[in-house]
Amino acid sequence: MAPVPFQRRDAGAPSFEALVLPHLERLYRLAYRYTGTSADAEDLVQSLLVKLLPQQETLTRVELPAPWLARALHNLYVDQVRRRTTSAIDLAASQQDEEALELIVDDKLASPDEVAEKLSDRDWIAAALMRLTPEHRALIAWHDIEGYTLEELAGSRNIPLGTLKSRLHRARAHLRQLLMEPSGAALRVTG
Amino acid sequence: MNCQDFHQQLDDRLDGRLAPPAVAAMNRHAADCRDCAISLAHATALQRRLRELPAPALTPDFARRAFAAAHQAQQDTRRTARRNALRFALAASVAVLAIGIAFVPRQPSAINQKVAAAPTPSAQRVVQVSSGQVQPVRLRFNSPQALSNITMRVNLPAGVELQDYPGQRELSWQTDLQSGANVLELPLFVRGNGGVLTASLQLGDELKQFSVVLQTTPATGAFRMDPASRIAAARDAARIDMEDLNHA
Repeated sequence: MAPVPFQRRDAGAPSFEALVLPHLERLYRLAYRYTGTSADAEDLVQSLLVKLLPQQETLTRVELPAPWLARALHNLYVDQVRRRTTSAIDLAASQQDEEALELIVDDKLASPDEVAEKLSDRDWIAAALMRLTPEHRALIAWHDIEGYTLEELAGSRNIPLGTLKSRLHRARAHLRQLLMEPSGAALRVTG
Repeated sequence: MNCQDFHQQLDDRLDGRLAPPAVAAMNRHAADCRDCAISLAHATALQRRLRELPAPALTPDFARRAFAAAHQAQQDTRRTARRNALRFALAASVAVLAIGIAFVPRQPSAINQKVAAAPTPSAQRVVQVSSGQVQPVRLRFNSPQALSNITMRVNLPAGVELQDYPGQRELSWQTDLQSGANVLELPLFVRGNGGVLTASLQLGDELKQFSVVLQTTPATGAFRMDPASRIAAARDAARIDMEDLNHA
């Protein structure tokens, strides 16, 4: 016999589903930007729901649930990425990233016409995003793709806004550098 | 403005953070600098393309599956926490089955002291509880030795529920006993007139059963007491020890 826990909820308080469901599609989309695959995006959102359900009362009191939930997803993703690595990921000090940029700079740059062609290719842009480090990709997804503000992200991890702006600047610079790669370089240079 | 200034301000321009005079200055520079003009065009186009990137739609049943899995995970977590809290022990004499058990009302000042007095008949198997509120009833079992894979079973009388297990009259689980005192805390919610709670320990074919009479007290006492003291008194009254008396 499986014990069923009490449901302790104030009468009239919205259910967890009622609080989260209106934002689920957008959370999934953000997760997809982060992870790059539907399966991983579903896993990330699933993990978020598991983490948030015990915090339902907190969520009930949140004034703007959309950015709050998105921030929770962002933090969860970053934490998961960091746990998978042996050391903390911080693109601001990523030697790997700097090396990748140097390799690109050393290459012959693509012509403006080649860049324009890449810009018209969604698959190429999506592939370039996946070549960014997870934190750079997450920042671009957060701000440039899904349109959340850096202010909405800054407070949750006590990161100064200026630091976030610097990281976003580096992320964008890296993505633009990837655009400048001549065709065929993508397989040789990894970020 | 030079090219370095131009690139330093490019992000702020893309984000709409640049004041009109600064935008105009960038435009003037781009008009005379083909490389910077191309950089601005590419950056603007990339930003627009990023916003247009498609994403797959949620699969139709994802929401149902995701919420169900979240509730299941929470339930599993609560059950694990509850069982960890219930890891205590049964005492004793399960192995020798000669063990007796005594219930002695515990005094507030002796909460952490072992109750050594022999039980008196009037004190045995009776604990005062208040109806309409959750209160812990702690059962302590002394085991002369560590025991593994004990099956613990608790049967509740009608009108008494274990917190987090509403409507469930019987619960059982596997546990280990350590040598010495093992405490089982049961957060009980008494709705009715109390009744007899039984706890049994089984080791292989050997079974030891204990029972406790849950005797309810009126919701409003005849004596006046401040709320905090009343809660403390109810808690102490509900705290009993089950002593393993080998000679009993």
